[in-house]
Amino acid sequence: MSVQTDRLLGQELLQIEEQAFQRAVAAAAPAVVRIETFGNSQGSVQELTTDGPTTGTIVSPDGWIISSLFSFREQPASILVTLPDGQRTAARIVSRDFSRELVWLKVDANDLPTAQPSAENATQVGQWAIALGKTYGNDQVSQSVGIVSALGRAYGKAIQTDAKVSPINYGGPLIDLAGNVLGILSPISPGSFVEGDSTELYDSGVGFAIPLHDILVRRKIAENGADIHSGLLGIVPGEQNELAGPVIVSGASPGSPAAKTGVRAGDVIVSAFGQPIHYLADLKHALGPIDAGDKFRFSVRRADEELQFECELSKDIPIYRRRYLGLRLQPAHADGPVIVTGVEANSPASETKFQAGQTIVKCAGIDNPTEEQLRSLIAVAELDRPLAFTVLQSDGSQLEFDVLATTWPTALLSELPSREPIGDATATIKDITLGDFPNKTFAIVPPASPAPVGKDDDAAAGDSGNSSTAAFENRFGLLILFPEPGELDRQKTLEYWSEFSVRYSWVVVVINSGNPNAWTRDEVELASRVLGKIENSMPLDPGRLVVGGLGVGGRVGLLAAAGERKRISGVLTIGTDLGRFSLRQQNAPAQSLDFMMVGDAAKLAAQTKSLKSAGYEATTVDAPQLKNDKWETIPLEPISKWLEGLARF
Amino acid sequence: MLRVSFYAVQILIIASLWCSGMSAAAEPADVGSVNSVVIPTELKVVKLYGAGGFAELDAYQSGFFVSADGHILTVWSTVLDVDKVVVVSSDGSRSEAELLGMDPNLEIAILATGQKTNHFFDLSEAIEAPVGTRVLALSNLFGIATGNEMSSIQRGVIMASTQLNASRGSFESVYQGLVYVIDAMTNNPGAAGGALINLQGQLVGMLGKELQDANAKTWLNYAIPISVLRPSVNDIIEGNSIKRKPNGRTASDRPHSLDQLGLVMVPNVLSKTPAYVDTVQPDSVAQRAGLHNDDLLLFINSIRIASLADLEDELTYIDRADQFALVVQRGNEIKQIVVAP
Repeated sequence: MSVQTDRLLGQELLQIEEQAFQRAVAAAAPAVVRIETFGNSQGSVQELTTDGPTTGTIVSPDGWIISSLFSFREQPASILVTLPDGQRTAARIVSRDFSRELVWLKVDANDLPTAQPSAENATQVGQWAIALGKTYGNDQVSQSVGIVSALGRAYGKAIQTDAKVSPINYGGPLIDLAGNVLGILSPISPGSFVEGDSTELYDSGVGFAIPLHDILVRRKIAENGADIHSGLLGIVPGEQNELAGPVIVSGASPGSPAAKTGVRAGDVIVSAFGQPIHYLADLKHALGPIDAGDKFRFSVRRADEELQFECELSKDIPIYRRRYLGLRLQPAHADGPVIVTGVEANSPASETKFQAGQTIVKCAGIDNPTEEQLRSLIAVAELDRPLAFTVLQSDGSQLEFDVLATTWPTALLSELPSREPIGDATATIKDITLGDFPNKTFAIVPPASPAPVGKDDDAAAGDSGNSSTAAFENRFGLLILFPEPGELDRQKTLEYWSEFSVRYSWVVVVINSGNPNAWTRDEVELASRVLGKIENSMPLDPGRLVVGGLGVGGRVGLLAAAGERKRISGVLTIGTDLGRFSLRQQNAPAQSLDFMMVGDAAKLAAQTKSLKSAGYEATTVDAPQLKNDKWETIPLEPISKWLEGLARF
Repeated sequence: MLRVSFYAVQILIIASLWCSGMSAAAEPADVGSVNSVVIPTELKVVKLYGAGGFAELDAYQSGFFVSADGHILTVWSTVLDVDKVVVVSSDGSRSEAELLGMDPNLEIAILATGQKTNHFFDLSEAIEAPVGTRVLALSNLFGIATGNEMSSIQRGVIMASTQLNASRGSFESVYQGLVYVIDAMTNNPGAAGGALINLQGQLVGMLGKELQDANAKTWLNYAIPISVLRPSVNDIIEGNSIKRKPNGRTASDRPHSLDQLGLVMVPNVLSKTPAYVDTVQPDSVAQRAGLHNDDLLLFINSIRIASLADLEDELTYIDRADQFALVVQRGNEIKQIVVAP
């Protein structure tokens, strides 16, 4: 074949394709409508709401329209839909689907053109997909051509496409080459922790659409005016890594559907709806498409038995608050028996026979629990059902007793646990290199082996009496700080932290910004790198891992902590205006975060309230005179008390 | 706010067709439809180097030849703020160009190299492209190409054509007219001044400067249609200077006011309080027009009223002697109302 013929065939193919796109768009376009909202951003705390027009897709001749939640998180004063005949008509919100980030609107009309759903389960990865929107005007639909990139995304709820999906076309249809609707474009994102951070997916070649079939099967619910929510189960897995192996339950979140089934710590979840569950990811995929109020069926293996459970998933699980017994615990050696090293005064534990030096041999039916298991068991303790403990005393006798957990105290420690005077020992500065990142990073590191923890006389333990005779491996707390862009004074940082670092075995790492003027999104991951690096070089105390920052660096710290919330225990912001950041996920057992915010208390009030409403404990220190680059203006005492308080159980 | 930049750029690189070190004389093999239109086009697109390179200002952009006499069309920017702009063609040839003239309204400039070329777009042959047209954008985005490397090519479709000011209203740009919105990330540093062609190789637009939607925080990817640019380009080449036109409307000397119309609105307690009528005064203009208490005013002369402040602002442009049209919501009903003084 000659080159000339090739070229002609090529052009012909291009034109045939383009005509096919045009025909598909023309077939689907009549059901795509423009929606204008009025008065929906009054006093909004949503960074990303726009009061620009949005798109909707007509799904029934009598006026049911699906749009995205994007413009309807708050009730607008007025919603106007421009119908295919050009008439503007008022619409009302009938139902919101929070699981799929969609909204059901209704207009009073008849004989409207409707979106034709594509055949159920026929969507193929790689097929053409065109995303339609109607925000640019009434006379045209906007169109972006791509392919179906994947199915079953966002835990089984969404089609992924590389067609451009953004506020320009949220609520519009994703269509195939026949003009049939594969799904409705949605701002759903596959799991983001900080609200407002999902914009990272705009324009990145990753967009999502909810299969139209999955929407239409919920019409009855929507017509009744009920909102639709994700169904929550409330299992607390022992291991948060989604692909780490069998799902071993470490408890059920207090008050959750799972807690009512009788599932208990140690059970292994083996199937859901008859499908095998190998990993936590399998369980999340099984749960993803199920709405609150729907039944969920799963089985667990307990000893040699397989047990079946069924429960009704709930819309929300009572907001979780971190649990507190008032114990300081430490394993004798890695994964070894756990020893009580201190009992807090005026704590639930102090009212029992707990004493420093005892070894925990049983908790909630689990023999010789590890530190990790105890952390999980205490994390899910009910507030009205005591935890049963058996402890071994130094004289070889055993004691059995119950402790009733309370929620985590927000008050700071009345005083820091006393420690041996540190003498001449001082901390030193060590530089840390971060591979391909240029960020100047240094650590304040205490001397290698300060006084063993076991010799401490814990004054805060009050009546705990005998101190332990066992000596433990010294474990370090780790505080990772992102300062303001630029470079933080090393010497002043050392002077500020040295005594605390030596006395309480903390490593303080400062990561300076790569660009002296601004932080960038990808520098957030540096916290994980530092954590990994330090973890490999010294033993860390899993209860005392904190990420934070000074000034704008505090935002980077929050994002970093969000990304590592399964390992990080606290977030410390100093002089940071968190602005409109709000947390998308509620506090949860075994991955709870505590916040300390130092700054102008008046400005921090709203943030504290929002954190508390999501179950996080937030302690505020009023320091209106604080300067982000001047350590001498930053109060050390409350910060020290908060940091050391994190290690409690 | 974190300055976050995400550019997931899909770039079709046809470097394999364009042997490195190829001399200017060699014509690349013509092996397929897209390539057959891209190769000749590449020779018309140039890389421009000028002032900048500090404080987040780039020292490079793109442009293309628009005449046999070596005139180059590009965007007006600080890059051109030098005596001589360095022009590098896809065959590696370098020349220096002077600024011949610019249009402050379109923010475009014509550079003159003073050298004849066979590789130029004839603007009289440029076409208008309907929404849905598949397009290729050629530009030196991010300054990836240097020397005899071709500019980068991205594929997309014309997603919409729209007035920059009308539909979103939140882009800060001198130019407020018609643009083609593209569904690929075409408007990146260095891309401004690049060429947008259809798959038949016909020029349809010039890539504009980077613009961000202040509301949605999304970037707009767009090109200005050649039909809009053509008259100015011809004027500049003919040596005519183009003056800045006054932008926007002027307020009326004797505008309408809520008071004089007889409208008492629900007070502006929030920054975006919707324009709700509290009371219509008896025997007032508003009452004669048919406005009621509790009406929500949505549009005035087809302009959206997002808040009470918007309404007050819009009224200042309408002369007291002129009538105007309102769209109002009363309960669940939408009404068109003409207010005649």
